[in-house]
Amino acid sequence: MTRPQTLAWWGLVLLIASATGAAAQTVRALPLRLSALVAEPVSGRLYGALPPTEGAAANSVVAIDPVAGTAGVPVFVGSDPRVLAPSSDGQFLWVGLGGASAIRRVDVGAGTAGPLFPLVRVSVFDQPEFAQVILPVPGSPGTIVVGQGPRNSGGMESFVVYDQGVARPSRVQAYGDSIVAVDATTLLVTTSTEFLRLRLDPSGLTVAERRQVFPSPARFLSAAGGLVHAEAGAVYDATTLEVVRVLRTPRIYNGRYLAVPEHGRFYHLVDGTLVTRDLETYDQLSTRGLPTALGAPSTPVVLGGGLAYFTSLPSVVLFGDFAAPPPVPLPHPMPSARVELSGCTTCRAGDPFIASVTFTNPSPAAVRAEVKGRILNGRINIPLFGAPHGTIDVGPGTQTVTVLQGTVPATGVAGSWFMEIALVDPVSGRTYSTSYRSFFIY
Amino acid sequence: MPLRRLSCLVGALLLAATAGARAQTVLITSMTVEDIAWAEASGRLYAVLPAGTGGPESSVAELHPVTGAIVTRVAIANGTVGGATQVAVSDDGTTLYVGVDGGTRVRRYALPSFTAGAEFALGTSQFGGPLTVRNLILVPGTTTTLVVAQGAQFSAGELAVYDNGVARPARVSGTRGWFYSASQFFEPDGRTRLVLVPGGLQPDVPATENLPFVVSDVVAGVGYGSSGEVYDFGQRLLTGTCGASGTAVPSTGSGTVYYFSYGEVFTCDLARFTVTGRLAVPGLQGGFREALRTGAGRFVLIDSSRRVLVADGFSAALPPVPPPFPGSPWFPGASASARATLTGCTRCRAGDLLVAQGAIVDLRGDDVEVKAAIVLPNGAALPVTALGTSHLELTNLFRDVGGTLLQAVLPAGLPPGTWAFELALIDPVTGFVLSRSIAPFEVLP
Repeated sequence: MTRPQTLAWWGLVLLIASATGAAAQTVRALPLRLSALVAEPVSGRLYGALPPTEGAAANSVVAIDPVAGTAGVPVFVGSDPRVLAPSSDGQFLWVGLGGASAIRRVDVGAGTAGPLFPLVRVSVFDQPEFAQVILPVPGSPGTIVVGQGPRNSGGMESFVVYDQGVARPSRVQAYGDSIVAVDATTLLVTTSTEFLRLRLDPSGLTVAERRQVFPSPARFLSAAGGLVHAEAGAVYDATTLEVVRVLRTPRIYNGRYLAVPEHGRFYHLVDGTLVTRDLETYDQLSTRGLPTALGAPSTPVVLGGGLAYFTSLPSVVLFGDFAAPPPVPLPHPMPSARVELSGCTTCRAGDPFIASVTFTNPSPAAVRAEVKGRILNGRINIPLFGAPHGTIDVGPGTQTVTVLQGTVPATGVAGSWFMEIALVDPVSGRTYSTSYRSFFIY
Repeated sequence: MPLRRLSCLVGALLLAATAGARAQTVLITSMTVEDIAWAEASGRLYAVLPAGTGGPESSVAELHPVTGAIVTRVAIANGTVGGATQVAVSDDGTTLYVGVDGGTRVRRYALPSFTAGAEFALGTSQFGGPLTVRNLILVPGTTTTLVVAQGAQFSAGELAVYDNGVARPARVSGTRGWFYSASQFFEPDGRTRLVLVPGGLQPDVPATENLPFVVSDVVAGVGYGSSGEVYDFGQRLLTGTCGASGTAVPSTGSGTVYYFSYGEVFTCDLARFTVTGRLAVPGLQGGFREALRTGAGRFVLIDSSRRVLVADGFSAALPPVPPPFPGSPWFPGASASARATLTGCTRCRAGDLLVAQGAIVDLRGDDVEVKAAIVLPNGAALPVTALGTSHLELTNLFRDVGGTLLQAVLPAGLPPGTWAFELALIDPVTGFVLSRSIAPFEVLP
């Protein structure tokens, strides 16, 4: 491997001071054009994929030291690297290629490209398939689950387990928009309308469950702690696949976002700012200005106390302190309200319907809260607590209040419904709690 | 009689690139041809010329591989159906086959003398119409075995193999009549792989391919797609994709693929799958009917108007490709946003003036509930009463609003630490926080 001369200017680090925020934040930008970026926490490095347009460094992956703000020597990996996934022990970097129906394994320690593993064909069309998503299997550095699909489509049509490039015999042919690992043996795939639960075992993958859900899960952001955070703003219980809460503002769909359960944070890049929210309440914790002149950002990655993304200008933007420990989830001693449906959830006329709200206050004194709540479908929108600015005193302990009880009427209510409730600080507007439940009336 | 004609090159367009030791040129001649064939062993280029090119009747000719000029021309009289149509040459350069009589018959010629030999008829289709040649090649290593794409008018056509004019029984039907020759591979539609067997031709089951791209050429078992694909038929693996499109002409010895497209020629490095150069060639028309490599850095092409083009000097590097267009702007604003600012003290002692200002921008008619508070070091929130209510709702407001919400001289005895002035916008129905702005200040002992 040679060191291309064109890399000499990579040592250049731009320093940009952001204009907003409690304290001046330093943003560093490396002049690299990437097609993918991933964080590798074992080595504390970022890895970027250099697309075919990058001259002598094209079709390579490069290690980035986010603390020093420097890039290493590119390693050629093959045609159009687009998907990067480090093994859980940091030994390998798996590279999905957009120009070849294959995956390259990079030995991270040696900094060398390993073998090229062809992807098997699973689709009935018997055409070359490409890696859309690579999920390393924890504890098995040589094992990956690959979501495969047609070139340039982004969608997946098959799912295969590979052990050092050898495909296990049991493979799943199914359409999917995204895939996420819930635990060592369970994966969830989404389509526009349903979840597929896949079981991973020594023979490969099998479909364990197929479940239609509302709202549609679209794409995942992440899964951890028994919850699945989906792109559409919904948060699902990974076991029951029930929605536990949801973002209701459609404008959150703008920009790029990343939910990091380990941080208890939801990072949102939009309009030249990084908006950080509490993942439990979606309350806005901070905003920081970012350099808009560097172009539109990719979905960010986080490492330590830092956050990085790439733009098409080209630049790799490094924000925050990558040497610092990552943030931890905030404690939530505030009162909470949880919607429960104890009657039907898939309802027909005459079925009993019971909606209740369970208030919990862990503090010894009552806390005043402004309560927001509604029950609605596409046509009907009913406030749960009368006036939209009602305040209540949530007493210590747990109390359950039935807010709606009756039988499902025969006409005029068919369709998808949901209930949601939020408790906010009546003075500052800070979110104490949000909760959400959906149901369907035939 | 052989004729020497150079006059038909009138109007030729010569383009030269300035870079490189030897300039790249693309000569776009005014001469039209029906078909061309290249004899690697003899280094000679052959063509079938339509009536009116080089003479009143159709002909088979040897063309100069650099200038495209006619070196030798042999007239072929029209038969009952028409004149000459297709041409194929053996790889040893000794034997030429020409579709004659409108392509209903195939005639053999000995080279270099152009001595006419035996000819055979293709016969009639099962529906009664005469079969005509659509394409024609010699099986590599032979002078007597032809693969002929043939069909009657309005029919899909078929591929047949002839040995000395005798058809083998096994044919492949339903083809479009395009194919490429490279060792054992034949590609009737650019995608389907066939094998030659003693009985004729048959699909290579189970390795029949249904590739989602069109193959321009196959060399040594590797197919080169018109969208940059490089496909290993043996491994059934797409090994890489170059970021170029057009008629692909591989030059495997130099590790380069050339892509001839509309107005441009690209080169791609086969080792790294990167586009290494691009040359603009005004007048170049894509969708080439034929593209043959006739030497180091030299190609002969037939464009969609059947004109002959000679590209030369392509051993030298093409001008480098400029970097891609820079990026797109940031995503538009998500929603109305709140801005809290302090214009008085930020490290405050008793007696200092604290001025808290709030602004709400980009409302766009959004319904928002406004919250403003002074947050103490212990997290407790005190309302900013300038709003008049803790539940101020703004509806259908399309302009930015703002002003001073708090102006006060700090009294003595305040708890020291980090305080904050917060301004928040929440959804009045769901409570979702649309925007929060925090302006911290220190209260010093």
